Amino acid sequence: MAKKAVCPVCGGEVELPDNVMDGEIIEHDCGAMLVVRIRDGNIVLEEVKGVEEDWGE
Amino acid sequence: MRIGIVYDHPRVEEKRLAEEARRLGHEPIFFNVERILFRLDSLERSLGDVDVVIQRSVSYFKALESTRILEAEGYLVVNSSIVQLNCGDKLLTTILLAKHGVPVPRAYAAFSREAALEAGDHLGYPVVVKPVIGSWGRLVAKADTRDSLEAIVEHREQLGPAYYRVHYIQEYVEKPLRDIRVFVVGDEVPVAIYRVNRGHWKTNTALGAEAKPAPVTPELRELALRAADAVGGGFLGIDVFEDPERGLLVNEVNANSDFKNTERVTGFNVARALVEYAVRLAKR
Repeated sequence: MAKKAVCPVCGGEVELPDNVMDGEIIEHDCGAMLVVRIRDGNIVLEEVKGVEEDWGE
Repeated sequence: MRIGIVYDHPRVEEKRLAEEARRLGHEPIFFNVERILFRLDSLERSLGDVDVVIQRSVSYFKALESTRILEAEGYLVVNSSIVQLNCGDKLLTTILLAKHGVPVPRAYAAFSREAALEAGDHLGYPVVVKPVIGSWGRLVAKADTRDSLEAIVEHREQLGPAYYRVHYIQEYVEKPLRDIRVFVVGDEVPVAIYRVNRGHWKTNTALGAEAKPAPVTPELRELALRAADAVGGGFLGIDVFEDPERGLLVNEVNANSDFKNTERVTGFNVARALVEYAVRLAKR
């Protein structure tokens, strides 16, 4: 069964890939960038405001 | 072998590493660096029983500092903290490359607005201004004139982090709408891509450049190995400019290289090469 969560920006349903991981960043249909937080099997999405200044290769 | 993969925001690359590790008969174990509590006074082994660690955090500081701790705890980490440091600071990378005789674009470091303008005068316009820490082409700016360089530097000096007031100013290399990303894995140079951007002078794939297969010529291979040696070696993505007169110049070296586009357009299994390299190191 597909994993689902609620978008904190638009309130819509977000379907997550089966292999979704804690910390993964996904883009929702509403345009929001969301980070997946998984604690004790519970999935919560948080909005990512932007790329941090030290992110990269 | 138990292979730890340390990450903060897992992407296709990290999942590919786990996939290839499993195919090779190893046990990949993911560790979210943000969930680990590192004890500093006793240096207990934070990741438990793993044979080698592949560091893949996209945050430079989280990758560097967590690797320092893991090394102190006795783990073998790919890439090492020294290599991450050498590659994470563009100023440091350039001076290491220059010290080892690797050809690089002309560049200056300037620690004031006046010195930055003097650097521009020496190089001739346009020039490229880069943050010493940062990636994916972020905040890299081209100044076509002295006035625009002054404006860029003035803006940078208003930004929060102190390292934005270290001005890395590089000549603008008239490259052929592309650069080369060449991969070094230990002492091998298995694959390279062109990063082609017809719509912008920046050639980062993160900014829309198109990846295309590139040949690993003997010249490119030799240059890549020399650049890798200069920063300490490991698994590296090296960015190379093709200067019409001087030939190949090393622009940057990446210690936490993205590789999904390289795998997609070349068919080369970068993830497997990295896993095999980490395993070889662990067996030494």
